[in-house]
Amino acid sequence: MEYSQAEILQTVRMTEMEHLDVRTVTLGLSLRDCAGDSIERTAERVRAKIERTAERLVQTVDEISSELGISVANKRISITPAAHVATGARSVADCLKLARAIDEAATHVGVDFLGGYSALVQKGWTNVEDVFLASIPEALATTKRLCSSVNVATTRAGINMDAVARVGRLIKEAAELTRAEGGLACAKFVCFANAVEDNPFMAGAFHGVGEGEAVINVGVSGPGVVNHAVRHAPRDMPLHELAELIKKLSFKLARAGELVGREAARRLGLRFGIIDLSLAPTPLRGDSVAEIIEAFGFERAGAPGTTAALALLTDAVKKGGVMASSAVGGMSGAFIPVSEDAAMIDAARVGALSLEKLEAWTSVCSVGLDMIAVPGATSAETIAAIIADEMAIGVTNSKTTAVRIIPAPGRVVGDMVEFGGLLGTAPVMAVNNFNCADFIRRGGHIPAPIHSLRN
Amino acid sequence: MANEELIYRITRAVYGRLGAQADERTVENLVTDIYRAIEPVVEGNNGDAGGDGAGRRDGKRGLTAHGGEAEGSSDRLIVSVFGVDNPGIVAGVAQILAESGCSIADINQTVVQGKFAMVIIADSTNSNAPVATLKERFRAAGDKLGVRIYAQREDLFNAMHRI
Repeated sequence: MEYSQAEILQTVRMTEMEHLDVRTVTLGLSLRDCAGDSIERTAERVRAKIERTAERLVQTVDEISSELGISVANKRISITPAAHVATGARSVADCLKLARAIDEAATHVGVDFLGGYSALVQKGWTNVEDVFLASIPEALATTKRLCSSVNVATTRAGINMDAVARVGRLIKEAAELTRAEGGLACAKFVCFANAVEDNPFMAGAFHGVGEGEAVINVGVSGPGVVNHAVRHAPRDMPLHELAELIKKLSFKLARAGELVGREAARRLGLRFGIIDLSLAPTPLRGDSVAEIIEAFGFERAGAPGTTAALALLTDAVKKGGVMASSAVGGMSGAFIPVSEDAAMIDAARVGALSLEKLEAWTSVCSVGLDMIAVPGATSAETIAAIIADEMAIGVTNSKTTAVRIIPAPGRVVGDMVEFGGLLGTAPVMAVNNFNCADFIRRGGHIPAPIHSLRN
Repeated sequence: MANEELIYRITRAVYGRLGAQADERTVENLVTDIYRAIEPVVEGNNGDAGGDGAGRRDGKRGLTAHGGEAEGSSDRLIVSVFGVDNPGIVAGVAQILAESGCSIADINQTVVQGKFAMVIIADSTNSNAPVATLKERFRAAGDKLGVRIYAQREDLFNAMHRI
């Protein structure tokens, strides 16, 4: 037989028992040709183009999923940052018309999220972007599937602190507008440093301006697979051997994901873009990045040493994936969204995992402070300052970092906030409340970092 | 010089009509036939058809790269069966394959300490049932026989286990 029984058994076990899945097949779509003088016309063109291009996306991906026996958790769309398309917008109400048209198109084609209600303002904002940024909270609060992101910093441009302060305020506003749902709108918003143009994962996906007309990008996952392997490895296996084990698994995960993506692209008549290797957890037990870290030999995720373990894990995942595919892109690392990872929730609840430790983790893994609920009383300035710290890590280390934080209205440390579905349940975590408002109020710009004398 | 944009459009139209069950080789033959039939007309008004770069690229791939690859086949299925041994499991699975027009290319079956394990590589080139239907039949048979039956395309195994 061409394959050994062990090989076949491994694949079946991965796909059927260890939650090996393709986390998302994301259709990246350029809307640049939709921009017009009037927002009404732009909105209609945008709606028509999304509906036309993505019409068969969900059905096609479901068929491939059934044939290969690999579940594909999500079918999504990423679009050109909407601020680039909203050229005719004169007011918040104009932007909201566009937001609703996009959301309705997403609903029509049956995708679960559509990302790209976004703006790139690392150096400053235009008049249209000024109005656009103001529309983000209401756009998120009044739509279901729309996701938004704002890039406020890059390694080449430094950090736009006016934008950071503004994002702090808009996160508070978005939380207030969705008070009844625990601040749900904030779960659909992410603030970036060095945002990538081909990221298939939400909430930060958008179709960069350097991208082509339409592409299929794939986000593979598989913390369950890695978790199972690390747990079944001998307790005294040296770390370099564990790295080798993870590399081999990552190779297989990447290959499976690329197969799905290329097949989807072929059937839809689109170009295949990239495969994103990120380990992305789901709320399911076992399908957890924190559990992998704990399996390295820790009582809880967040214990001393877990930053080192996460660095090893992220690096091994990348090395295996890069060997498997020449189309690796996106974030490609390990995601640590607190609310979406059962073991991370546990670690936060027992006090093993703090915001500060998460921040340290983000210096060695993608992507950032992700799906973190903080007390509703946290000020806009404190949120902006948390963002500034995270942006500094990204800018200085030439990597993507992000913040998706939810100041859950009326909630205090220890409460649980339920967002439902993949977004999971977030424990409200403690924030360092020493005042930082004067720093944020200075505004201005943190210059781009030097690239020599690196220590 | 082939008009890639046109080939791409034809390919898309053919897939659109035939759906997911479209056999790659059939589609390729169809597109080639159609293109040859209209080629003289197209040559006659040889303007740039416009369209996006992405489409052209894939259109070209459709006629060249696909079909000839030996790296696992999308026409072959790996059917794996696991469970407690009982008489009639092999017969039950083989019958479903036969009824669906799939032939068995390779088969391997063992029983260790009462645990039944079987792997079949089935050729579904002439299959009369979509994979979804086949999987549904396997699910029902698996319930009856007390085993789990999985059917997955062979190219997945090739992608995962061969460099």
